[in-house]
Amino acid sequence: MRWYESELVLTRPGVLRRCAELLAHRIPENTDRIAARGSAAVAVATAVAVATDAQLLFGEADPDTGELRFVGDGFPGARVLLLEDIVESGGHAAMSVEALKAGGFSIIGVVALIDREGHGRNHLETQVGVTYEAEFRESELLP
Amino acid sequence: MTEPEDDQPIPRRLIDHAAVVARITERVDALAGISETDPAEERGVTRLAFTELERRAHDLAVDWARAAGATVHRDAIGNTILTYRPQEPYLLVGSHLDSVAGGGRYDGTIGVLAALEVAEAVQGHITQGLRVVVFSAEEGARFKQPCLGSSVAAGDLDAAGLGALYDSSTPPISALEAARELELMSEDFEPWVDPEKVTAFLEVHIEQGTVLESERLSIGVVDAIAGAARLGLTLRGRPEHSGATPMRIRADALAAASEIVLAVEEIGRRTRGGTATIGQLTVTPNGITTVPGKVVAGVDIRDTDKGQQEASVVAFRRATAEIVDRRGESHQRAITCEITPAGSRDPVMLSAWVRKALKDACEASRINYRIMPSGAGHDAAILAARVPAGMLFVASPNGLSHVPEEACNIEDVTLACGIMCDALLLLDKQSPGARR
Repeated sequence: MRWYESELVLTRPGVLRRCAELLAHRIPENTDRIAARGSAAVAVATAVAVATDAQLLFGEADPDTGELRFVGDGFPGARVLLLEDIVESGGHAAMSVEALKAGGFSIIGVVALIDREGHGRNHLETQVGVTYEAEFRESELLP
Repeated sequence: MTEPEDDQPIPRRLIDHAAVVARITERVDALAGISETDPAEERGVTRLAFTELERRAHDLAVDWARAAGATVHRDAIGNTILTYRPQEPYLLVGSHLDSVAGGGRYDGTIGVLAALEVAEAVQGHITQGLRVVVFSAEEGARFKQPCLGSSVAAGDLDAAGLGALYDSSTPPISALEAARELELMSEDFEPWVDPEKVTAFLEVHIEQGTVLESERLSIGVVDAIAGAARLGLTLRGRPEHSGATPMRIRADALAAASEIVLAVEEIGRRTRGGTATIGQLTVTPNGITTVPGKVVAGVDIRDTDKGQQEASVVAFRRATAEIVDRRGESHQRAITCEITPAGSRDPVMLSAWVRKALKDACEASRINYRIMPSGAGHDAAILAARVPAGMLFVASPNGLSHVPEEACNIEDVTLACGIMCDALLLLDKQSPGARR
């Protein structure tokens, strides 16, 4: 089994800068907010926000109910793109998409930095019903 | 007077929708009648800053406010302050009643009319003070600098500053002279926009763009007001015969300017919250058979981020130098260029606290809205540097503004009145602790 340890690379400013430059081209012009959950995804999303001027939403557990919610200066109907650092099964992203929908946001799609070539694409596109793009496939990075 | 308790629901629907629509419609018509132009001729509204017409419009607002129980005060620069509740600190709502030349009926006007409705509706339901302000001289049309009334009230502009701003009449009249002709701008003036006294300032305005209309929304909650850097560009080439001068030896100032126009367009596209425009070109000698010898251009660069606004100005200077240098190398006769700053103001972020109240008010009434920046300057941007400030936009049909065809749906303005009422009640309950 091959592991991609995001904390070893996504904590480096130079890597984040280059990731942001690549992902910036995948942010549609009509995006109102980019959303992210989890420290590595939030680091990437923050870098993308700096590069594109797109505002952020952060996923967190509601302190009262423990339910996942996305906080930030959003508004109902805002067009939101979810950023993930790594997608494998797609379960983490699917949970975020559901929370965003429950928050009244309109989902543009999911963009991942790295697709681990698991069931993520199939899960997100056919079961969750969102568009999905990834900048890299794992086999391209770790051949 | 009912005093809202923390555990009581906020009183909603303080606005009698049908009555407010009818009253605002009638008042818009009454104010449109105060114009240099005849409203029947469809040449729009001309009610320039520091004129008798602007004073007459303020007087009409005073009559309406007095009928609702307000007391009236005019400050030294002609801002009209209508006090509905005299306590301090106080909530402040308002906008302006001057216009550009040949402008529309709604710019500024609907903000004042909404403020009058909101103040009358909430005055019995809040605990702190409540005032409406009608700012003077918001439009930059006459003296080439906007927001003179609010800038003086905030302490950003004084008599000397007003004395340095001139209109284009012959001979030119300074803003100070124009104000003094109206018995304004006395020597003992004290700025009054004081964070110890003003809890928050709220303004309703037409969007003046098409974002809301394109998304089929009536209401926008403004998060930032773009800054603007204005620059003058003069390009000098050689005016020569268009038939007799070979292409390779020309110094065509308009061809160079055309490249710069496209470069500026590209700079504007680079940032999400920015714009860059060359909206003004004067070509000399402007003859069909003469190579253009001189072009004077006006450049307008705006952004909601100060660093990006400055970066766009640097990018414009660099692109212009590169285009002029390249043309000098490839053609035998050089073009010279001169860039002169013609005014700059920084972008302003509006208060997150006030925005939250406006958002909560929208969501509680299930009103669809979006958060959006303002590309145009407003009095709220001046006040935001001193006190928490917020703005609501109502949709502008076809995005038209500063033209006679400017439009606005009074139903939307009335919706904004309801949101403002709820937001003021929230701010009244939360202040002053919650905003710190």
